[in-house]
Amino acid sequence: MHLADGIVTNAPLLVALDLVGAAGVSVALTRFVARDSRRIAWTGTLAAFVLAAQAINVPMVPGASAHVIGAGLLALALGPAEAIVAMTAVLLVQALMFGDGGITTLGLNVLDMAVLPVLIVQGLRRVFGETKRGLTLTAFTGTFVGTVAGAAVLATTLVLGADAPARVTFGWIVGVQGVAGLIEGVLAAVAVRHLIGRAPGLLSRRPSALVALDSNATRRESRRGLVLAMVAIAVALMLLPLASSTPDALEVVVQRVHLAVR
Amino acid sequence: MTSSALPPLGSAGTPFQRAASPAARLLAGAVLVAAIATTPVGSLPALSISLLLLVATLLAARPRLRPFARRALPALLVIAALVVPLVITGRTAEALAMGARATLAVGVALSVAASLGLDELPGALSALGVPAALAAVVETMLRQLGSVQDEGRRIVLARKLRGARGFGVGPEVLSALLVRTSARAERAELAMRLRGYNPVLARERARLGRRDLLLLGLTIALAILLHIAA
Repeated sequence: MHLADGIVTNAPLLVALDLVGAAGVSVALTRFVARDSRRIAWTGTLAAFVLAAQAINVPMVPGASAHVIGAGLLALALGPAEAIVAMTAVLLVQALMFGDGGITTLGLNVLDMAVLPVLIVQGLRRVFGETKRGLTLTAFTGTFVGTVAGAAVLATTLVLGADAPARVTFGWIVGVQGVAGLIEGVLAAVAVRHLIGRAPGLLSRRPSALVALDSNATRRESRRGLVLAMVAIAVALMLLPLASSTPDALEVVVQRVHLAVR
Repeated sequence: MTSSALPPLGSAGTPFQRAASPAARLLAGAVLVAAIATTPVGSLPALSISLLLLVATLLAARPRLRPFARRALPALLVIAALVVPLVITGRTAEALAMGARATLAVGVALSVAASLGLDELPGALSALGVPAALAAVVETMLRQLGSVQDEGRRIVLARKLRGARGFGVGPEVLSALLVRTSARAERAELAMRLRGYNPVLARERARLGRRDLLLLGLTIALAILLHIAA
C-alpha cells in the first residue's frame, strides 16, 4: 500500500497530492492536544502498536502481500485528529528509517493511508452511532471501505502519474488491498467488541480537544495550521491542471470554440 | 526500550556521524532521495550517477549487512508489486527502469537511515521544523515500540502456555495489548518526566550548525549534477 519514491513520473500530480495530504495533517495538528502529555503518550503508544503490526506482511495472492493499516482501530480509539497524527508519525518513520514508502510520496501515503481511512471511519461512526453494535459495524465497514478507498487513490495515482494500465492496476491493487481490508475489518470489529467489554473508556469520545482550544497559544497555532492547510490546498488545485498531458475539458471546449470562430 | 525493538542499522561513531548533525544527515538524505526519484525514467547517466551516490552513501554510513538487508527486502517487494501491472501488460523495459530508479532511491534512503540513531530522529525532525506535536508523537512511538512488542510476546506466550491454539495474534490479543499498553505508556511517560527528561535538549543536540555546511553544500551540488547529467 505504501508508494515508493521514483514510481510516479508525473511531478505536478505528485506534488498536488502530497500537498493535499499535508493539508489534512495540518488540520489534524490544529485539533491535536499537544499540551496534554498523557494524550501524546497514548497516541504515541498506539502509533507504536500500528508500526509493529504493519511489519507483519501477510501473503495475499502469489507475488503480493499486504499488511494491516490500523487506521480504523486508531480512529475509534483516539478520535480523528490524533489518529491522523499517529498514522502520519508511523508513515514518517517508515519512510525515513525503513525505506518503506517514499520520502517524496509521504504526503500521498498520508492521504491514502491516514487521512482518507480515518475520515471514512469517523463518518461511519456518526452514521452507526456509539452503541456496541454501532462501533463494531463502524470498525468493520470503516476499515474495509477506508482500505479500499486508499487503494483506489493509489491506483488512480499510478494510472495518472506512472501511465500504468488502468484495468490491471485497479484489479491488482484494489483487489489485493480489498482482501486485506476485509480481513483487517473482521479483526478490528472483534477487537472493538473485546475492548467495549474490557475497557469501554478507551473507545469513548473525549471533549479534550475543546479544553486545548482554551489556551491562546493553541488558538494561534490552530489558526496558523488552518492557513497552511488552505495554502496547501490552493497550490494543489493550481498544480492539478499541469498534471495531465492531455487537455482537460475546459481546454477542449476553448479549442473548439476557437476553431468555430475561425 | 527501542534497542530491543529494532536492531541498529548502522555502526555508531562513524566519521560521517561526527562530521554532520542528525538534522543535516536527514536533510541530505531527503534531498538525495528526491533528486534520484525525480530523474527521467530510463536515463542511463542518471542511473549511473545514482548508483555512484548509493555506493558513496553506503561507504559513508557503513550499514550492517543483515539488518540492512532485512529492511531493504520488504521495500523491494513493495516496488516489485507496484510495477507488476506494467510487466503484465508487456512493458517490461519501462517496469525495469522504474524499478531500478525506485530501488536506488530506497538504497540511499536506507543508507542515510543507517547513520541515524532512532533516538536522534525526533530531535532531527524538530530541528528541521516538523511540528512539535508530531515530533513528540514520533518520539513516544519509538520509545514505546519495544514495550509494545515485549507485551505482545508475553501475552502470546501466556496464551500458548494455557493451551491456546491457532494464530498467535488474534483480536483478543490485540485488545488485551491495547488495554495493557495504555496503562503502561502513561506510567512510563510520567516516570521519564519525573526523572528530568527534557525533549528540548535532544532538539538542541540535533540542530543544524556551521559544521553541516559542507555536507549540505555537497548534497545540493550532487543533486544538481544528477539532473544536469540526466
